[in-house]
Amino acid sequence: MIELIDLKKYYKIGDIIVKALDGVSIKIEEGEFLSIVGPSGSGKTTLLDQIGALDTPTSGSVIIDGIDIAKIPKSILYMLRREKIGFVFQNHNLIASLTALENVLIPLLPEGINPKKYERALKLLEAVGLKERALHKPSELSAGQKQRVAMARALINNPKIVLADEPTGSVDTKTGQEIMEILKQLNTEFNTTIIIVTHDLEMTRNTERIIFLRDGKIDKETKI
Amino acid sequence: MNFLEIVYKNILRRKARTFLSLLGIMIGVSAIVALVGVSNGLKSSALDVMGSLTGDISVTTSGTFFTVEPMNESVMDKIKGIKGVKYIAPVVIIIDVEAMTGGGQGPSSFEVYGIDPVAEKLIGTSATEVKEGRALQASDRYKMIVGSTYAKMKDLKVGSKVKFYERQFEVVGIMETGNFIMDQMRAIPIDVAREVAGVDPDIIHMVRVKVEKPGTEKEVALRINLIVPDVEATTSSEQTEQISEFLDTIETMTWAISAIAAIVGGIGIMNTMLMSVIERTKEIGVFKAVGWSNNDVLKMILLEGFLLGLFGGILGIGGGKLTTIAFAAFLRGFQANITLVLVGEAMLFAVALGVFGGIYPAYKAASIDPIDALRNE
Repeated sequence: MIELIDLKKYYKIGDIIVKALDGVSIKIEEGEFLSIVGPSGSGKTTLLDQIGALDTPTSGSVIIDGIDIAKIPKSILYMLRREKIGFVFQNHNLIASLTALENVLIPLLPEGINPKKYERALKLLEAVGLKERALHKPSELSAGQKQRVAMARALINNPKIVLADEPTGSVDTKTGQEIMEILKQLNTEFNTTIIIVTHDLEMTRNTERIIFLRDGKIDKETKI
Repeated sequence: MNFLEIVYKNILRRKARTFLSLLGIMIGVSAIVALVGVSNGLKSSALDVMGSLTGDISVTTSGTFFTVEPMNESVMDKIKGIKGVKYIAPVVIIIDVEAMTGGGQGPSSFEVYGIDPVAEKLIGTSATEVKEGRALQASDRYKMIVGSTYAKMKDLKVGSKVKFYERQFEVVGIMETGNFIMDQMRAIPIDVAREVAGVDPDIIHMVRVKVEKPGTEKEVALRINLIVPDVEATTSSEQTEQISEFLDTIETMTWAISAIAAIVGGIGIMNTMLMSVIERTKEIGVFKAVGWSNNDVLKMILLEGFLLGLFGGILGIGGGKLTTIAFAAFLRGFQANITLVLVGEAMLFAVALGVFGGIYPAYKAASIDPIDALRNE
């Protein structure tokens, strides 16, 4: 379970203090499929960074499975990311010099890769419909295929939480729908908690709850 | 897939840039290997040569160490009378102008020695180490003995005729000492040498001295210097020392100059890697977002530096070896001495440069904030 308690994240830009998150409290149940919607600058990506243990808050708490991220030094937050979280970025962010399979394996590299992990990576590529393209480099894949590889990469560590920042932002509507289908399937099959950030309401149809953010605060919440 | 594989792929991404930074290290390491190898080779040859060339003590005009300044033969009587001197042998040195101006095709030894065959035999120098034919004899006139390397270069055999200073000489013997300088030597009878050089019959350039008791060389040389005016007696060990010191200085300078070249190469690596880290900011951000630690990133970039150093070192050692082969072709019979220690040192140096060049870029990469990196476009 993820619990955000009065979460604040302020940045100082020159003399101005920017309140990216200004007292956000949310409870997210295990296995929930949640979307965060808001105009640009509303704080949705900052919120995702906090849940994803990429950053520590100015005040408040981010509690993931009973661990308060705010109390962990930034330099060892990577352990949490490695074990519990999978990221899907807007622009897939695949490594150009590596094949699809190698890209999927990247998160495991520091621990060492064995045949079992290879097998898992191939299974994940199969699950996203790209087994045949495993040995292709990103330049040989379509935008939708790249995003699907990125999803397989996010899942390689068997994370409890998958965070997707505008996962359909760089693909056409049809591919966007396909990606959302895959996320939904993950959510149902493996009980993975999925949180997506989007500004496209169309894409929130598959999710169970929508949180609207505005100026760093929760504007409203809708259960579907 | 492992770290090494991903690092290898990273450095192959920009092949031209990688090649150029490798070139920097390669040139530096080549220079070290080639110059130190050549200097090692010269050192062992030059040190070998001293004893056999000069006898126990060599006496020349004072202030003319190893140059050709004439002395009067009468000096020999004075030396002979000094306590502790057993045998002496005079030498006339002729410069082979033709060989000197012959460019790369000529021998590397330009001096032809005029020797007294009888005295030479007593003193026992390399001119008596004849492999084929015979040594010079007292009755010989236009006869010559040549070193085996020189014989090979000029395709000479015992009985061959050689033209030297407009005169025809017959090769009667071929010497072989195993030393590339000695084996390019030529010797003719001393009277003929004077005639060829057009000097007075009482002129000599050097007197070689053999002492009665080994171990007294220094003492005898001191006596010669005190008693005989205007000459300088130097023991072969002193000369060896002087040459050795000189060659050591050259070797140190060689290292220093090559090291500067290699360090420039190292800075090149640092620059390349820094550029590559900046280019990959977003990628490094992704690595961190998916669970890599700062140390994992540090390790990856340092490994890149290590690999660049390793490849640069391998290429450099190869390049150095090729350079010495080319050098040996120019200086026939010469053997550069690239020892395993030299190869090891050069390799270590190259790898250290690569890793050192990688430290700052690796530190930069490790301190990249994943949030900033992921927003980086």
